[in-house]
Amino acid sequence: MMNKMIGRLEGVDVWLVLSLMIFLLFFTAVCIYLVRMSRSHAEQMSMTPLADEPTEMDLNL
Amino acid sequence: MNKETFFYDNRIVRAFAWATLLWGAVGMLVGLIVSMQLFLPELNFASWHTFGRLRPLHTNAVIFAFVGNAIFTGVYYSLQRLLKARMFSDVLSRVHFWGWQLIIVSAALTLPLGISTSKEYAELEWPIDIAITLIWVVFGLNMFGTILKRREKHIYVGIWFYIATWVTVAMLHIVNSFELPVSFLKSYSVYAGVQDALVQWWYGHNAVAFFLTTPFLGLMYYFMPKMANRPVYSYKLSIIHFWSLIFIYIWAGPHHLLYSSLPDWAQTLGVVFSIMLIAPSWGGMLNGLLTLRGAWDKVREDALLKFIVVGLVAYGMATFEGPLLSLKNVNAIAHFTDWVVAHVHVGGLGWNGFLTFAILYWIIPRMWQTKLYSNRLANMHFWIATLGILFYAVPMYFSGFSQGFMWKEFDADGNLKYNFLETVERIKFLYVLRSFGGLLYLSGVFVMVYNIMKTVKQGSFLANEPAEAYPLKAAETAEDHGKPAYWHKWIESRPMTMLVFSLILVSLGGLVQLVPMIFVKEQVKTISSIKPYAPLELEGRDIYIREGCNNCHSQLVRPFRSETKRYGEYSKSGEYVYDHPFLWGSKRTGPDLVRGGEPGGKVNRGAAWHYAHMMNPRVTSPGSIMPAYPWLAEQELDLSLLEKKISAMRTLGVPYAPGYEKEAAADLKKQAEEIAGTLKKDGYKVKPNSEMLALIAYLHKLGRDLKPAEAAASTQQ
Repeated sequence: MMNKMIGRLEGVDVWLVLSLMIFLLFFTAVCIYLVRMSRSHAEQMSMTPLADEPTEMDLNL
Repeated sequence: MNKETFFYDNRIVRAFAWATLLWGAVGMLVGLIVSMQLFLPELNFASWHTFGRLRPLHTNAVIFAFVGNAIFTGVYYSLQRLLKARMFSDVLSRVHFWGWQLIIVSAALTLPLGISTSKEYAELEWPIDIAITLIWVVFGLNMFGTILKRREKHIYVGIWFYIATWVTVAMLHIVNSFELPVSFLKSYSVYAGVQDALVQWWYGHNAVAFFLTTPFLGLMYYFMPKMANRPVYSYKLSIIHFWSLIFIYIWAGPHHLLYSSLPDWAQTLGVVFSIMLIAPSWGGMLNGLLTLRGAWDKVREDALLKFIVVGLVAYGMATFEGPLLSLKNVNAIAHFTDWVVAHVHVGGLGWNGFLTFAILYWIIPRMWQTKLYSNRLANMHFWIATLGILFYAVPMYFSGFSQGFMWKEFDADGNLKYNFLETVERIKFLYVLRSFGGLLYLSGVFVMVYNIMKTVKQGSFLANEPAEAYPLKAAETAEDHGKPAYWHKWIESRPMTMLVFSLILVSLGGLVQLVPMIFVKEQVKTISSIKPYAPLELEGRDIYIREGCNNCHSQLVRPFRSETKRYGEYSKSGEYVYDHPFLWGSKRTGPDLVRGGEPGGKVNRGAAWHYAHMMNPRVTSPGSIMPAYPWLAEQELDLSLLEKKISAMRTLGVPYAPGYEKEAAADLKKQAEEIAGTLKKDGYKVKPNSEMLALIAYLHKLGRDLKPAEAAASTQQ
């Protein structure tokens, strides 16, 4: 089907399939990485922006 | 190990913040002027003040000057704090700042003078392109230098977005800027026709993605939790959002070229990936909005959160509408109309503008160690700006629908129901409303400037903000308690790996689309009757580019009955093989011109008509909103570069005979005299070396070589 879509252009279907495969593999790896990521690490990272400077209370704003 | 004391550099943040305010006001003011030129053509009173020259100034000013400086403001502020390190080099910071401002000033000087490549959002000529590359490298060195000397082991997701932005913008800018210089301020794109179109819209689309979207997502992930005083809703979602967004975005460029002569396979790729984009875009929006969980009551009082929430909603609307616009049946109506103008302004004014305002309101009181001068004024700004967006977008949607449907409407006899001017007349009052919206939005900016100036006056600027943190080694040990690091954390602490992965992912889409189009010859069907431009036509084409005619006139007839009936035969890729650069345009404020020279064609006008029209469009076309170009009849053609232009074109593959550059001037003179003679017969006396003749020659070349038999043969292939 992919070959038909791109007409007479030989070889390009391989590029398309290959790049989609790379993305799918990468995407799967990211998903595994996220599933295995510890909750504490995710929570710690999500707090990062809040942990980098004095709070409003400290500044007495 | 003891904590280290260091200082954040607030001076560079302040410099970029001032530049953001200044260029924001200038860019929006130019936008207001060009919007008014569309219902008051008298405002096009000088060559440097016409819509065609000022519209690129507006787009470049708001994208690269306003939004660009806003990005750097936010990045320089957040990067130091997220990495617990001062910027790598104060010198590089200042070179970056002044270099970027110099580029903006160069753009502000060259674009009104008509020095332009014509490629949208990439109009700047080659020396400025080189300067952009160098300054971008300086920014990259400073950013990666800071990342390398950080005191925080893990790199927060906001910084991932900054890294992806840097690497992708570098790639896009370099690939799209391949041009052959003819002189210091004139060059030709090395790509031609359909290839140039594909490269340009691969760039153009991803300029939106990686200049207007990814850096702002990074800023959102930093500033929104701070403003809401809540952690990010889901850090895991932010990671999946990041990788899928940067991969998918890069493929979607061809949706700007649907129904063009771009091969179907490339168009289909563009559509499919555009639809897929909804998922990561909305993932990001929802992650932002859900960060406000438990803090929605604050939105009622807090102007900053209001800006952020409406900004995110605008982002969600624009990223839902974008994929819909790339469906072929929707695109058939929306393309070339004001619908697209409405779409981009919802994103630009809502997402980029509102996030920028919120960030400025947030950082300036902190850097000046005080409170915002007036929350009431900030709330007032919010409401004025929101009304401004509504007054801008709603009329433009109606205008776009009117254009799209009126252009396609037939009467009972099968003839087009409206001529082009009738559609222009119908939407003029909507242009007035749109300008009112723009005026409101700009007024809001001045309210903000006043509020910020008062804030600055009451505070005291902290140029070097003290901070403390453990050095990286100690921080790692403290975090891991002596245990080896978990394998899944490794990428978060490896910025260069991140850079390489990002580059691979964003390169894939570009390679798959661009490589076959550029290197496989059979992608562009040749048409034997198409001849290179004669010297006078080539000079006329350069005048067309200088005046920015492509900002309002397309040169692409799509294969619809409504278009072939109005303009003539639909466009083939083989017609454009000598077009360095392509001039398809993206908007039809005026009619398409690509069949303007077709013998016996529907839109072929004589030289006398063109002359009278250019002198005052209202004479030949009552109600027209086109600027008058009387100076074209007065200005003499500058032929000093003619030989170089012919040689450059030959270098790019245009089949001018060797040595033809020496004969070009004579051929040019002969053709100019012929047109001047024709005009004389009709009672118009024109100087035989005036620019007007060259432009008429060019307009008469368009579609002239496409003979019906050739067109049919090309279609069958």
